[in-house]
Amino acid sequence: MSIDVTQIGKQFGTFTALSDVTLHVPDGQLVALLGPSGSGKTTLLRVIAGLETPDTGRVHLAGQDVTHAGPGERGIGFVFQHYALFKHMTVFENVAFGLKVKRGAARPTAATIREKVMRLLSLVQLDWAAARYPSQLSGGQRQRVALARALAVEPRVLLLDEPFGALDAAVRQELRDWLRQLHNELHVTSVFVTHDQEEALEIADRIVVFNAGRIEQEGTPGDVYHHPASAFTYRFLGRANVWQTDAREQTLVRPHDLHLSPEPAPGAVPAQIVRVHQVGPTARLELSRAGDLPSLEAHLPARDVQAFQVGQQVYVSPTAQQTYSVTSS
Amino acid sequence: MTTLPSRRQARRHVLPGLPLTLGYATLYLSLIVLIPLAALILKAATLGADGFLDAVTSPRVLAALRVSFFTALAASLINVPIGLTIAWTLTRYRVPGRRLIDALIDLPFALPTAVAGITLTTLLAPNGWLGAPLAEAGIRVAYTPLGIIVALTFIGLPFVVRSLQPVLEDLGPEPEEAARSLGATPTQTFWRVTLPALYPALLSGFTLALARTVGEYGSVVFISGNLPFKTEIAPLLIVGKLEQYDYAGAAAVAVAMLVISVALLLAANTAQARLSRRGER
Amino acid sequence: MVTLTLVLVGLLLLLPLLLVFITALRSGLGPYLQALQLPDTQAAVRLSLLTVLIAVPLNTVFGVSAAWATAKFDFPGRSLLLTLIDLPLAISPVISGLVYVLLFGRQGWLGPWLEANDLKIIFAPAGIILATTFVTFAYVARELIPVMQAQGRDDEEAALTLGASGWQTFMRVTLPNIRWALLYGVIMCNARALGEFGAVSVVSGKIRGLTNTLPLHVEILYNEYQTVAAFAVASLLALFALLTLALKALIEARTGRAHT
Repeated sequence: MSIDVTQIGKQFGTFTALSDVTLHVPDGQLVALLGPSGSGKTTLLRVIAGLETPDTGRVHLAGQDVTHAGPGERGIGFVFQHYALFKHMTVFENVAFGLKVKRGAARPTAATIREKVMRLLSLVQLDWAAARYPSQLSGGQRQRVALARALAVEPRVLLLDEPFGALDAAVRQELRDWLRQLHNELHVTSVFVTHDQEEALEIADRIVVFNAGRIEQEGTPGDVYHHPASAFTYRFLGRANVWQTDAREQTLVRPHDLHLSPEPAPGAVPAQIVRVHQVGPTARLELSRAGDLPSLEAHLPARDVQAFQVGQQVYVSPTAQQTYSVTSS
Repeated sequence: MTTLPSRRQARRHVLPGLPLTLGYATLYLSLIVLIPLAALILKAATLGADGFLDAVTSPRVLAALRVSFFTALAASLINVPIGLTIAWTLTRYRVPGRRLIDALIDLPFALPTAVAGITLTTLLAPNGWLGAPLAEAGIRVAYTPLGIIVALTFIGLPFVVRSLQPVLEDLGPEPEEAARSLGATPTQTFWRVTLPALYPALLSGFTLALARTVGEYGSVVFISGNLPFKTEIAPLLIVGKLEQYDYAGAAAVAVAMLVISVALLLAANTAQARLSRRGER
Repeated sequence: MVTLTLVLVGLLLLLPLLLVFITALRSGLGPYLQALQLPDTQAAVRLSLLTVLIAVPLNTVFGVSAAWATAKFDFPGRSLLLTLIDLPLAISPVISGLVYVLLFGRQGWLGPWLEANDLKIIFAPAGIILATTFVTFAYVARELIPVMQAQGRDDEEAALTLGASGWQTFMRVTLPNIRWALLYGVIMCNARALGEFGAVSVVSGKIRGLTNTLPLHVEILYNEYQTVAAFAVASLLALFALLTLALKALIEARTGRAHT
């Protein structure tokens, strides 16, 4: 089911959470809303879910205007950052909740509910935990229960708010791969919020970058990473060196796009190596340049760093760079 | 976005029930509390400014207000060291029957005040279990201001202990160990490190006890003897005026008591806000 | 330190408690039971129960409403409402009774109208119930508000996205989440309602068999020098207080909560 939000605006007191946001999510895609905290991405997710009412604008799901529909009437599934599992219910009861609260003829029989819940629990590999309480599970397991619970009502859209934000690094990576796989199987239109650019680049079909309540850029991960439309996006998607700056323009370079050579070369500027860190397979070099030019950070494969030592004079040139007008940052 | 600067009202709330619950809560609050209190103030106002001042500055009223205020103050002050001792023991030592003692602390709260009143009076009367030996030593407790203070100490005790306990549990041994490692003696450590950390909780316990005891009636009327100018408390004076159908006079004394209570609470809250800001707890 | 605490607790708390039961049973079990079976005592038990059965549910419904509104929503005047809810705690019980006398008494604002319609509130059970409700007004709300505020809105929002109605969300998600705090508040409210003396004594008129609650009955018996009977009734109330403390300790152990 496609999602269309049109010219959404939302204020919290004097704080503008969203201003004039328009976005189209095609059916069956996995879309990441990416941005720093306070940039409006979670608010937009909650507006789509019906958990916040926008001050202006409209929300359409599959072409149907749902701007004033309650969260339970939209056919969405929502996964909360801190899971929001019902502590007093078992895992089974949590997943069954959305089916049990259906009224009248819409409520499935107990046997149907049982079968469906167990099927979902085996999908998230937690069928063994049906009788446990959320407090007896790890963070990653709780998040999978939350996902099964959201899927139980057969949502046409799945919305996930920082789904892996509260988990440690290893579990994060595992759940990420698993979510991508699950999406490939179910093909339900999904939108997730994250502030982790790597997460977005790794699993999303499309990325929407947020900044200060507005959409800064949207596109495929390749588009967004290789052609950042603004200095903000450039900086947000990875480490950035200021190669050169004046009143109008700023040229930015990624640390791994810097080429170092012991000999002068055309286009290369002189710099001195201040410090060398080895971080696993990568070496990080801190370089200072003459005059007012900002210092640089360069990343090289660790085996290439033997040619250089602290204090040495080198010549640096960018192999790729982006120039932005200063007002756009 | 979970930490928005302020989550102000939306045009429509997604969670249901605000109009119903807020409407009901406000209506019920108005019916049970606000309208009756307004009736009290209106009644006192029927006396006019002069009449009101005359009513609340008559020597007997002033004496009763003084007795109520000073006995409550004394009892709350006495409860500070007593409450500190008990709370300290309950949190720091392994006492046999600790849970039982801990549960018993709330007895003054759970026990009806009239029961407390007759019990303490019987205990401290000149022929009582404690009253007899004390009388022997020339100390009279029942039917004196001292008796009122004892009753109010009983009533106020749980407030001080319960304010201190969570703070003491939180405090942990590290600051004290740090002080000792820097060469402070145990006495210095207590006075300079531990006690200052407890000031906000002590003040809050003291204030709660004072607020509760300044208007206390049930536990006091039995033990006080109710002698005008000596052991007559303000609430009793209100009852007396009601019995003589002096409704306006009763209302005037009540308003004076309300003003004192509110002023006390405000002063204590301000002091506490300042203390806890300094302590940055 | 430990010894001092034991002495203080013994003198201040344990000794009075013992005295209640020892005095009540001073003349043996016969007079004790006899005192409890007096018609006036039985009437006082009935009136006290009636009072508790009305005042506590009223304040419970209020407490849940006020907590839902103030803990789950922000609206202009919210902090004023929170202050006003605590107001009855800072008011002398005698004043809590007095306000109703001024409103409903014979010389009160509504007194003539009540009399003309043959309604009686002051010196009648209705006044006792009202005064008790005033005194115990905040007990449930005060327990619920911090707990509900700490729990936030995630659980309720989750239930709504899963299709639950507002009522289903409250009954199946919110209520189970607050059940211990609610029980705790009800128990404290109950204890206070059963034992209220000052407010009730002002509005009761102390008509034996009609407007006497248990604490008032204790006072009358005591003032008539029926010491054994007074303490027999007092021991009933003390037993109830001990039951309250036991339940309270049980909830605290069960939820691992700190003291209030």
